[in-house]
Amino acid sequence: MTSLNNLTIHELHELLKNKEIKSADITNYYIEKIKKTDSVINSYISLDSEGAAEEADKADKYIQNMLDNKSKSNNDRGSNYHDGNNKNGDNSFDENAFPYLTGIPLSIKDIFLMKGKKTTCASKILENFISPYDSTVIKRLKENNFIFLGKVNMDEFAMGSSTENSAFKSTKNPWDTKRVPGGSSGGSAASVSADLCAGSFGTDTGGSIRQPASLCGVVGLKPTYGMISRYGIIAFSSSLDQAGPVAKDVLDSAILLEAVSGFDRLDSTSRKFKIKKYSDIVKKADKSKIKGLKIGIPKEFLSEGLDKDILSNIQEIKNNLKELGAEIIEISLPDTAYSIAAYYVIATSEASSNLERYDGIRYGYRFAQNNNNGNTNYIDNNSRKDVNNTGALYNNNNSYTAANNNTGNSNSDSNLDLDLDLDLTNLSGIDIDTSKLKNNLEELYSYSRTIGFGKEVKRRIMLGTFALSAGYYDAYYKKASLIRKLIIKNYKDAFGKVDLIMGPTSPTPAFLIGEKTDDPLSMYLSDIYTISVNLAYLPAMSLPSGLTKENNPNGGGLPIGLQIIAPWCAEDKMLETAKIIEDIVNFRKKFQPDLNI
Amino acid sequence: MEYIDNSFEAVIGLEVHTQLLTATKMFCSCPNVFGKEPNSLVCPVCLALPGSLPVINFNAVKLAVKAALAINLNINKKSLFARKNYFYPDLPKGYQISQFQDPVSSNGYLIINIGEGKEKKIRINRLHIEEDAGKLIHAGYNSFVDLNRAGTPLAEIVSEPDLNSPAEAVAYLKELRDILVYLDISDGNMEEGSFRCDANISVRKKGDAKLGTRTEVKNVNSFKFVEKALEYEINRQIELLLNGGKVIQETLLFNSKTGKTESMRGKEEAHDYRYFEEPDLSPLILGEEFIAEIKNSITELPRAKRERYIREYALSEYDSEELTRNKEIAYYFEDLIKANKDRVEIKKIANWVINDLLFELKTVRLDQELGLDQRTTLDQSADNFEIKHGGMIPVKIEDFLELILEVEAGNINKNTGKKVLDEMLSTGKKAGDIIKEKNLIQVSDEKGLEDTIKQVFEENPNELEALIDGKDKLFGFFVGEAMKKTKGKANPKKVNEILNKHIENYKSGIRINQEQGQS
Repeated sequence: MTSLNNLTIHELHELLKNKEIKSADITNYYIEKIKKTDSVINSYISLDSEGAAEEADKADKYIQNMLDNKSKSNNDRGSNYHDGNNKNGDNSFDENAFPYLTGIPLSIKDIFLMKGKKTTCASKILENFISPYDSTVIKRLKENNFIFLGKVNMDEFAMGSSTENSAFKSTKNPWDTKRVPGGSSGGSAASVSADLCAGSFGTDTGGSIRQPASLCGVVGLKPTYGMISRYGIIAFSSSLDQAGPVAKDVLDSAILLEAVSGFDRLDSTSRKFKIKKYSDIVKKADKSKIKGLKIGIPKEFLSEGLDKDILSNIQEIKNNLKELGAEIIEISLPDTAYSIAAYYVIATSEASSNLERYDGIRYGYRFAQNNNNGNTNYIDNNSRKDVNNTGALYNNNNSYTAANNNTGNSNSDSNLDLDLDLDLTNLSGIDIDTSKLKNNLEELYSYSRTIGFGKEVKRRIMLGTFALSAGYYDAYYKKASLIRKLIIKNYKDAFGKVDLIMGPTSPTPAFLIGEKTDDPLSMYLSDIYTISVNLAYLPAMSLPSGLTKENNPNGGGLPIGLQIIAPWCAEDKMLETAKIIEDIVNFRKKFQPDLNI
Repeated sequence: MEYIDNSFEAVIGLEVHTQLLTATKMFCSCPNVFGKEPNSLVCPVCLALPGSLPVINFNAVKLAVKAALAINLNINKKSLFARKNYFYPDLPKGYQISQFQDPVSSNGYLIINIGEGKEKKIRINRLHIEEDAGKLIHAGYNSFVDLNRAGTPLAEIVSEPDLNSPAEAVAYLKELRDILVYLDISDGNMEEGSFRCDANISVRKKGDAKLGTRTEVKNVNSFKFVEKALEYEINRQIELLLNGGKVIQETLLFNSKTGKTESMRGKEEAHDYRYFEEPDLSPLILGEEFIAEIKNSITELPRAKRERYIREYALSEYDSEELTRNKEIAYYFEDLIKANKDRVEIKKIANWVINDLLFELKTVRLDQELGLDQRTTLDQSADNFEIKHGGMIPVKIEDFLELILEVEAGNINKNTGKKVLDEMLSTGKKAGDIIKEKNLIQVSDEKGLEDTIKQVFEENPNELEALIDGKDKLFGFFVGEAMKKTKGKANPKKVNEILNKHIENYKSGIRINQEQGQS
């Protein structure tokens, strides 16, 4: 059998098309590899081996059926061969009938809702939440007959840059398991980098796709705001969140992007952009396209704090592009310095409001105490058999339990068949004096959220709540919105002079696990080059452009990511240029993480 | 209005919430219907499941703009949705999508009647669009959440503090509700909560320019309660001030059982709603054409109609009000006038509509709605008949006019006319056919009526004796008996004439038979 090791989506697609392999084989390859190596990498939160196997069989039948029909129609056509009406070559497929993603196994960041599957957002508060509906991204992937392998790890509610903020586990960087994969889409980047899936989808609010892609040596793309529907993606910051692909190469990211892009009436911020056939553009990309291309490098992106290997890598690529006839122009994005401050006001403000729905009333984790016997119980709404997703209720007196329980001396939860695996010893330092509980609604809210949310999420909720408070709104939220307008103008001015902007994705290669967890500010700074792109609603991507030298004090032999930022809706130009750079660097052929597992 | 000390005056501003009559909710496609099984009209959006997003219902925007135009507000071509953040179990998202800065409309007014033919202009600050919360039902130790109502489209209409008495407040509310119901914007049903009111109240010494500290009374669900709650609250504040106390800014709830207002939360517990622009929705941009189209769809409003009826038809204020209270009735009446072509006096047609048609409709409504045998009438049901009847008056204009003309021509009497109308409503037959079929033509011939009355006298000699002796009350008894004998068909005018003649004759000692014998 053909080796399936580290193949891209388009390579797998060719094999499926030529009947050299079945989707079931590919799926089984990944499942086995995940079972073998993910205990080290920790990229998956939930693995759906059975579902994936089933879907793969279906996809194989579908492919078989289609290939049979095709050979039949080819025979038919053969009889007419001489009349000259055969416009399509013999080996061409109807791409609508056999999309690239048919039979291709993907991992999905655990922030996308998928019907019947757990969607936790890497949070205790949604630990057992099973989605009753499909996000638009999943719906479109299903229309492409993709294979769902499982949900991958992330920072809780996408808040973080290292995936260390997951409530469940910390994902390792496949290039060095002592290091973080970046975040928040660290599970996506690690699973793609370690070849535990063919590709993945993540979300990017301030760099959450590009930064982990950079740290893990894979391609990550954040499209123009409004290009991919946010419906069914758990919201962190509504005006900044955007889904996008994490892939092994540029063509794969184009394939993944075009499969899910486009207007969705369920998302009022999605736009009626013209979605191009990005995969065709990438396939046709040619070095001659670089001639005369104006590429801007913002001086603010090459400032203090940038790793010297990353700096020299940028210079090298700059020279390569110059040789091909590109015009390299130094530009300025003068308000970059304010972008982190503005971002953390806007993102946390919106998050403080977006996360209000996790209140323990209708679904998710709920704190409850039964006053009669002094026991404190932790009720998970989603493991309650008497209450479905819509049967919202709470008890306004002693115990927050079902309607028909008798609040007598017995444990009123005993008839509920509860999954009480959350206990007082596992509350990460939260100390509740149960003798002082008043058993009221406020406690239900505050303890459900205190226990359900992790530290970083609570930090951001508090920041955002403060920024929106009466008397502070003008000083923080309003001012941040004004800075956002300045940043948009910075980019507008820059794109008046250049076609694309280029620079580093991250100031350093992957840092060590635990290195920044006690210093949130230095963690926030790791997004310095990515954040302003979200504020300006622009598309950008990170592609691997080299490795740090062995003696690098920030870590040797680690991937470097090159960031390309494009004007609004210029994904086509961005992908085309990325493909040309990819061919120059030839990263995948030269470097692979040494898993040694 | 008399207060415990009339050197004080009240200053009142009202916030009205009205549900909009759309088919679906404000931000999702769940049906906007009252009274279904709890939590049966919900979806990921109105349940606030993770990942769900709102989509604006443009019919709700249309209705809100229509309402705004009807109360003279300026429409803002660009308006913003905002999140109002607070935790409560009936608010699934933890925030209500509303409008804060840049509402859809601002700066309007409403003219109200304040008695003795006087009018007053009440300024309206704004009308904005928002969504309703769900409902909590408390039962013993348990509380239940019903989210069917969550996400229902609402318009909030905020008046300036231009109202100075409970009566003015009620007049404002009635005027506002009439308009909203007229334009099919709201069903105006206070009991079901589709038209609700919060009142801001303060008092000050007459002549003072400075406003006193205000309190807010929440969710008063009938006009009567509004009046009572305001009256109580005004007197409470005056009394407090007279005793040297201070009014505290707080939110109160009206207890309809005790007739008192009770503290709900004080200023220090007031919510900080942390309003900010809703990032899930784009700004609402309304084009000139869109606004103009809605403007053109606004028909003559009740106040204008009333004034025109008084002016053009010379009707009384009472009649005009009765006729215009319900839009369908008003249009029906106007069509009758047109078809009538001045054959019957307009006042008479008005009486037919007010006294007979409306009465019958209310009765029919009950029969059909409740399946009742007895024909009772409910006072207030007239306001709602339109909705219950599906907006239909089940008698054609020409058929109703035919009936009126039959009575006017003296072919049937007024009482028979009412019975014919009843028959028309239940069978859909025409007046002429019913009259013919049931042989209802009025008996007016003198000879026949003379015989009937003679028969009645013979059957009731004692009563006759008493009547002759001066017991005049019995006159009606004989009219009734005569009508009975003719099955109601006798021309009552003729019966009266003949009866009168005979009684007079009796009194002067002449007996009919003698007279007959002499002749």
